[in-house]
Amino acid sequence: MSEQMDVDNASPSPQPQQPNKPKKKRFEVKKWTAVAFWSWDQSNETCAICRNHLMEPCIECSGSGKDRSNCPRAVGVCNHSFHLHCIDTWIKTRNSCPLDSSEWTLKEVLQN
Amino acid sequence: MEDVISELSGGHIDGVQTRFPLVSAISSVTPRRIILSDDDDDDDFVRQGGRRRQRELDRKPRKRKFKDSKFMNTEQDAISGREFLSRAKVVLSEAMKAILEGSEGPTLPRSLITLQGLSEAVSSDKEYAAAFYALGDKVFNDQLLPRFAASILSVRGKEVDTFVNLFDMWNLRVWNLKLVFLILDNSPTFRTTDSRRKMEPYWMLRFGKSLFESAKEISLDSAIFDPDESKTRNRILLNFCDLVEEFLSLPPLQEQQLQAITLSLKCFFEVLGKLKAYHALLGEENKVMTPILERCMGKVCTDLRDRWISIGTEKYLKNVQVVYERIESLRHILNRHNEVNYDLFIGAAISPLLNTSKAQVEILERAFDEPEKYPTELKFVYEQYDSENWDMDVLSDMFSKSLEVSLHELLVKQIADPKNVRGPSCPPLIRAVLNLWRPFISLLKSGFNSNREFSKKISKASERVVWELDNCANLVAEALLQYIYGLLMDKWRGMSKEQKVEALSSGSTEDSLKSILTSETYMIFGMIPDRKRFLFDRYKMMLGRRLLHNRFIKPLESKEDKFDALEAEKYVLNCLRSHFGRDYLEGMYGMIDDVVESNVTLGKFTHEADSPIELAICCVNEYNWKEPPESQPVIIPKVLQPLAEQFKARILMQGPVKFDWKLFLHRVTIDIHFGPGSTQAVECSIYQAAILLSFEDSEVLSFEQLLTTTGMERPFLAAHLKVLTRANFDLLLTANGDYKINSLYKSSKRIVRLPTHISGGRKRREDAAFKRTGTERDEKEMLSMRLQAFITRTLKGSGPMKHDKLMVEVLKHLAEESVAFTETLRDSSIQNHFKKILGGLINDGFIARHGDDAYRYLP
Repeated sequence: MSEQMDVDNASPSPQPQQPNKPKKKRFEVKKWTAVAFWSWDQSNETCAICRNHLMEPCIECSGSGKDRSNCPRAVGVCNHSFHLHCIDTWIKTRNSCPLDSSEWTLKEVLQN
Repeated sequence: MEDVISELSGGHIDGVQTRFPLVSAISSVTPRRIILSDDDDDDDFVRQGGRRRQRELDRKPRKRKFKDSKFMNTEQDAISGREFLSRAKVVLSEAMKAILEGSEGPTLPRSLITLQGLSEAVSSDKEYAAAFYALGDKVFNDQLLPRFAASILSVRGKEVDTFVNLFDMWNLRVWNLKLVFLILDNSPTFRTTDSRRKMEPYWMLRFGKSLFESAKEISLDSAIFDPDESKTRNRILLNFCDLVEEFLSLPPLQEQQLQAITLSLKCFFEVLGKLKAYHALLGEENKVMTPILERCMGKVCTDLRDRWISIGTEKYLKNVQVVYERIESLRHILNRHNEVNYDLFIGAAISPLLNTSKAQVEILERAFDEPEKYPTELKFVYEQYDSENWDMDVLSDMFSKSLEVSLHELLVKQIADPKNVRGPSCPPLIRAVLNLWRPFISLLKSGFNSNREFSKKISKASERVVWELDNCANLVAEALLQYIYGLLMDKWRGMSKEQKVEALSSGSTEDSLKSILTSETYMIFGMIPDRKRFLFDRYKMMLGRRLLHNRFIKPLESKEDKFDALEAEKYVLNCLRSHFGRDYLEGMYGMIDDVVESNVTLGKFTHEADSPIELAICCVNEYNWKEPPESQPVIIPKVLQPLAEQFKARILMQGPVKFDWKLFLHRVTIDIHFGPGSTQAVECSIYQAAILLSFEDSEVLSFEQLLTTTGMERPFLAAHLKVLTRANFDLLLTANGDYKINSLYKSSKRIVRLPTHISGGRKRREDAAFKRTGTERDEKEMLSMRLQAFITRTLKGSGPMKHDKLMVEVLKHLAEESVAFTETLRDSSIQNHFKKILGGLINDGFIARHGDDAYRYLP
C-alpha cells in the first residue's frame, strides 16, 4: 500500500491584501442653499363660487378684512376646490359640486 | 493824486520796501543786545542810566523791571532810573508822532534798536499807555485828519480811489508804528485802557470812523447823503454810486474803463471788509454802515432801472445779456459783502422787459439759459410780477424744459452703471437726482408752492424723461426703493428691543416714513407714473430676492439675528403699509410668513437628515412670490440627490401639492482639493457645481461628456465653461475640446465666489414682467372699484342710508385702509368722485335712490 504521501500541495498562499485606502475625495460639498416652490395640486385655482383666487380669502372674508389664514379651502372627492365658506353656503341649497354637478363629498380641508 | 499821497506819506509811497528792514532788525537782534550796542550813537542817555544797570541787565535781561528793589539798590540808582524813564517817554512820543506823520527807517528821531529798548522799559507803565494813545489821537485829529479830508474833497470823481489810497498809506504807517512799538503793542498794560486796545485795529478804525463811517446813531442815518454827516463820507458814497452805475451802464463801457472801475470797486470793498474785520477784532459791530450801503445800492438800482426803461424795450432787449453778465461779475466782485442785495439788481434788469409777453419769454431765455441755476432770480420775478404781468405758463414751460434737459443728462449718465442703482445707504442715482431736485424744490416751496400747474408740469417733464430712456423707470424705482429701505432699516437698527416690539405690535409706524421722507423724495415718486403699483411690484421682487438670500434661510432656532432680520422686513412692510395703503403690499406679508414656516420645516428636516452638508433650503408657496427667472435644466449632482429627494418627499407628504426646485437660485459651497495641501472653498451655482462635481470620477472630460453628466443645454453649458476657464476664475483648463481641473489653481481669497448670473441664450423674464401693459388697471380705476364694492356691501348690510352718512362711512373705510385718495384723484375731489360712482351704481341697477337724499340696495 503505497502510502500516499500527503503532499502538501501548497496552494499558492494568498497575497497579503493591501487594505484599500479610501482615496481622498477631490470635492467636498460643504453647503447647499436651495429654493423650491410648492403649490396646491388641484384642477382649479379660483373658487368657482366667489371667483376669488383660492389662495386669497373668499369674498365674504375679504370684505370683512379677514386674512387667508382664516379662510380654509375645501377639496371634494371630485378633486375640485372651493373656499370652505363658499361651498358651505352652496350646499345648503344643493349638495352638488358647482363645477361638475356630481354629488359633493368633502375629501379634505386645507389651511392656506 | 499821486502827488497828494506822496506828500502825505512823506515821500515814501512804497511801504513794502521800507517794511522789510524793520522786520529783519527786530527778528535778528534781541532787546538786551540792542541796548548794549556800542556803535549806537543815540544811546548816550542809556549809558547814563548807570554801568551797574548794564551789568544787571547782562544777568537778568528779561525779568528786570525798574521798580524792582533788587535792581535799584541805591537812591542814586532810583533817581537815575526815573530820569531815564521820563527821557525814554519823551523819545518814544517823538518817534510815535514822527511815524504817524510818515517818517520811517532812517528818518526816525532815534534808531530802531534804541526805540525797541526804550519801549521795553516803559511797557508796564499804565499812565504812559494812556498818554501814548492820547498823543496819537491829538496828532491824528489836529494834523493828519484835516489833510486827509482835504485830499479827498479836492479830487472830484476820484473820491473812492483817494480814500482807498489813503487807507493803504495809513495802513502802512500803522504797520510801521506797530513794528517799532511791538513790545508796547504786545504788553497787556497797553491793552487795558479801552476794550482790549491794540495798535493796528485802533488806529485803522480811527481812520475809518473819521473819514467814512458814521458816528451817529442808526436812526439818524436814514439819509445816505446826510448834510450833517461828514462831507468826506458823502462824497465817497456819491462816487461809489457813480462807479456802480457806470459799471452797469448802457451802451457798455470799453474793456479798459471797465477794468479800472472793477479795480476801484474791488479795492473799495476790500477796505470795507478790512474795516469790518477791525471792528470784529475789537468786539464791536458796525451797525451803521450796512443800512447806508444798502440804501446806496437801492438808489443805484432805481437810477439804473429808470435809465434802462428810458432806452426802450427793444433796444434794451438787445443788451440785456450784457447787463446780466455785468450783474453776474458785480456779484462776483462783491461776493463776500452781504451789504449788497444782488436781487435788487436783477429786479432792475428785469423790470424794463416786463411790459410784453414776448419780452418775458426773451428775458428768461436770454438771462436764464438754465433756470434751475437761478432760483433766486426766478423767485424774485415770480414774487414781483405774477399777479399782473407774468404769464405762469411761460415760466413753468421754461422751467420744466430746462429740468427735462438736465434730468435727461443726469439719468443717461447714472443708468449706464448698474452700481449707481444699488448702494448701502443712498444709491448714487438717488443722490444725484436729489441734488438736482433740491433747488427746484426750495423754489417751489418758497415761491411757487401755491401753483399746482407748475408742479404738475415739472412732474410731467420728469416722467417723460424716465419713460423715454430704456429701462430707466425700473432702475429709478429700484434705486428709490433701495433708498427708502435703507432709511427704514437704519431706523430699525437704532431701536432698542422694547421699541422694536412696540413698533411691530402697536402700529406706531404710521409716521415713520413721513418723518424720514423729504419733499425731494416725493418728487422722485412723481417720476414714475402709476407709480405705486409699479413700485410695489418692484419691491415685491426685491423682497423676494432678499428673503431667498442665504441669511434668511436658516432654521429659526439657529440664531437670533436671522429672526431679527425677518422682523426688520416686517417693520419695513408695516411702515410702507401705513404710508401707501395695504393694497400695494398684498402677499408680501405672506412671503415673510412663508420663509418663517419654511425655516421651521428646514429645522425638522435637518434634524432628520443628519447630513454633513450644511443645508439651507427654502420651500415657499408659489402664490405669494413673483415668478423667478426660468430655471435651466440640470441634473442635480449625485452627492445632493438623496437630500433633494428626501426633502421633496417631506413636502409632498403634507398634501396634494406640486413641488418645483428653482434651480436658478441654488448655491453650493464646495471645498476643492487641487493637490496636496491646496484646498480652496468655492461658492457657485448649481450649474457650476454640476460641472465641477463631474470631475470627481474622471480627470478629463470632453464637452459631450459634460453635456451628458450635467444634463445642461449646449449653449448654457458652453457659457458656464467659458467662465470656469476664464483667466480670473481658471478652475478648469481646456485643451483640444477637453476639460480638466486646474491642479495649480491658487487664490488668496478664503472663498472664491463665482459669477452666477450667466445667461445661456434664453431671455430672462424678470424685466419683462414690469413693462406697462394696457390691461393693467390704473390707481383711479382700482379706487372706483373698491368704492363701488364698499358702497354696495354697506347698503346691502345696513339698509337704506342717507347720502352724508354713506359718505362718512366711505371716508372712514378709506382711512382704515390707508388709501391715499387725494393723490390718486389728483384733479377732482373725493365728493365728486363719490357722486360719479353712485350714479354709475344706480345706472347699473345695483342700488337705487330712496327718497330725496338716501340710497338703498337693489337685490
